[in-house]
Amino acid sequence: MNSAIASTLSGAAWPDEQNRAESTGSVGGNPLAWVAVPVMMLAAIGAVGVLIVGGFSLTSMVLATFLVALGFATAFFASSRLKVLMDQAQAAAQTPLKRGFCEHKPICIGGLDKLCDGVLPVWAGQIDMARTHTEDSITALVNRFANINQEIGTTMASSQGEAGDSLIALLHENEVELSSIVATLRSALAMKDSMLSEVTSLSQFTDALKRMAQDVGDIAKQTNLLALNAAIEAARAGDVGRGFAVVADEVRKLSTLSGETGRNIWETVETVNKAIATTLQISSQYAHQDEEMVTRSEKVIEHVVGRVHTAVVGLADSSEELRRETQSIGEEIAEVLVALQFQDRVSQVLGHVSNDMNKLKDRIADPERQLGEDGMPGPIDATAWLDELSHTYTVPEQHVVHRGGAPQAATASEITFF
Amino acid sequence: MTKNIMIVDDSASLRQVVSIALKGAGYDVVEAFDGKDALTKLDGRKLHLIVSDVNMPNMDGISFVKAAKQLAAYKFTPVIMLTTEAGDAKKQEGQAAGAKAWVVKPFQPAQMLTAVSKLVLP
Repeated sequence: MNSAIASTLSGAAWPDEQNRAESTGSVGGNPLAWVAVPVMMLAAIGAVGVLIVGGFSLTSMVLATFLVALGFATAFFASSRLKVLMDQAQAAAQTPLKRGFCEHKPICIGGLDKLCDGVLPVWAGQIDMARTHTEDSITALVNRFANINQEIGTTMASSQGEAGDSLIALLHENEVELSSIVATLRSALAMKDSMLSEVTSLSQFTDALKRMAQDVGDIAKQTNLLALNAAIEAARAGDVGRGFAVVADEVRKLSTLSGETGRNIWETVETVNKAIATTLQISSQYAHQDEEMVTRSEKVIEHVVGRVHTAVVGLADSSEELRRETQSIGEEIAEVLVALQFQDRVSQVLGHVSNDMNKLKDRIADPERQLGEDGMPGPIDATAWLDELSHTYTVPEQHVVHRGGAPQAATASEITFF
Repeated sequence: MTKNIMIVDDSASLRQVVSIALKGAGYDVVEAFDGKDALTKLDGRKLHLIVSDVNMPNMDGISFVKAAKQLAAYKFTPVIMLTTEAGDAKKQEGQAAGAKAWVVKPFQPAQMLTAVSKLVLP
């Protein structure tokens, strides 16, 4: 009971002592109990003695109660005084220790623990917020670049695809077909020239026909003269020559007919000759116009073909230029996508720093560290701490910076096959 | 037939970069944000390759690969580790877990595709 009272007293007034008493597991470890317990025990014994001697009368009970109260008050007073003296002694003892603790530090800042306890979570929170924002922004950037890359790929595919190639092929076909039209016109013109030459050669035959018609006329005249002589000779022969006169008359009729036929032939040939001449003249006029028309058409077609050719070459060049530019932009975007991977590295580095800050905050707030066995805050082993920190690193540059080196940009990817 | 590749990385931007490279080469992509999420997505679907980060929350890449190799359907699925770690000790851990290649970030998409085309299942 007494130890409980002592614990209650000391625990109510001095929690640190209570903790220490609890840590030792008995009151024997608490010097304050050494004073409080005997005083209260004496008061209790006195109260019991009064009750035994005086019985359970009202006077005895009041006296016993007074003795117990006095005991408690005395114990409390004595413990308080002893506590003050102990604190003074402890402070006096710790002063040189504290001085020694701070002596090897360049600066010993009061309230640093509380500052760290408050500021480290804030720093860690700020770093986490920066990580989150960076991650969101970089992801958005990557998405945008991805879309651009996809659109460029689609454009490139269409410019290299069937549509572009077929257009160029179509333009080439048109060029060939238009050129063939000129060749066809030239061929038609040549055939017409050939035909006119043939017609011209016909005029030579008409001259021959005219000569032949003249010959027929001459023969008719000679035959007519011959028939006339035969008729004269038949008349001189009298009745004997009457039959012969009939034959001579028929011959004369034939000669007359032949002469008319000869004239008809000559006239027809003349008509044909005139018609050929007219045809040749007209054909000659049209041949000139045809030549001019074909030449003009040829020029127009050549002009059109030339423009189409220029357009085709231009289109092909533009297509090639577009292809080169697209490829170049695609390569640039690929480089950008590589560069954007820095976010992952930065995020990991910031994560490690943030975790270490939280760890330091926890360490400072650790109640076991508040007071060590010697009543002093337990020292932090900086070397072990840094060593532990270095084991959390996942990016090679962190080790370089940790050793005090200058950070270098990450090199190109490295692949190891197992 | 289009081939399926799983990307496991806690960084959304990294997943996106890998995804762009793989989709551009004609692969289908399944994304997971850490080892645990990836394990839940190993639901029997056909995977021709896995690309996994090493340092991730909840379940790291090495543990994930070990767990994946315990599953009959994914025992022979090739794994490429994609990480900022370049130390030999970590690489050996990856190899012991069953990874077939180790790619250090930042990676060139072309090099990644070379590794993928070498290892992806037919």
